[in-house]
Amino acid sequence: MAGDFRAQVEALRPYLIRYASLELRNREAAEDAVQETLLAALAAESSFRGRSNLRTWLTGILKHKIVDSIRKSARERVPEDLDTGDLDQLFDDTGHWREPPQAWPEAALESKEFLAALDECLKRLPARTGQVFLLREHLGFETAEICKELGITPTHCWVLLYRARMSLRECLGKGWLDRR
Amino acid sequence: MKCREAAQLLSQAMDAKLPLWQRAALRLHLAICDACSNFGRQLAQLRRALGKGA
Repeated sequence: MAGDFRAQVEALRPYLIRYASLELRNREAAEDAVQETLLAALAAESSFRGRSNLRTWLTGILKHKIVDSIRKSARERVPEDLDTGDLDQLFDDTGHWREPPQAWPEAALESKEFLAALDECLKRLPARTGQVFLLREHLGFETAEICKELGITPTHCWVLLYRARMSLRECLGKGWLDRR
Repeated sequence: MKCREAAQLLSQAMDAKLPLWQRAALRLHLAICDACSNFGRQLAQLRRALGKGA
């Protein structure tokens, strides 16, 4: 039976690596986080018993490993610019949008093309900005938790989220949404 | 309120409840500004797209 469990866990490795890669954007860090997740899972087999979905359970463990990994690398990284001057450039001297946002058609957001464009635009964000944004929007952490885990101030957190959102909507708009 | 402030507040509102006076000022601005209304909807659309596990 133990062998079965190991095989089932192992079969989910590719899925977990994709998940962690999106979040960490570093193949090596993603593989490390998944490896730690699988080891933790095998050691905790008895606590899985009775739960219905192995993938959900593993993903839950992986989320914690991802946060650990980001926390570790955050200490080594130079903080990104807190200045919002670059974003203020999107507005003219009177505070109006230079290029007013257009409505995005709901139907387009369901398409594969949109998700591919979103993935591409996410990759263009500065590393920390992208991580904070994904912790918030993809993993659903509260900003207070993100600040605490990454050891950054609430203001810094807020600026990174604002920059991520502004950059993404601009990138997606330029890509194709505004042209439809 | 100018669009520049409204955009920042719309982003903040995605993460925390704004003080009452800011919410009121923002609502007034959105009532007259299509661009910021579109921006606010885009933030919600991004959230939905990623929440689905993109």
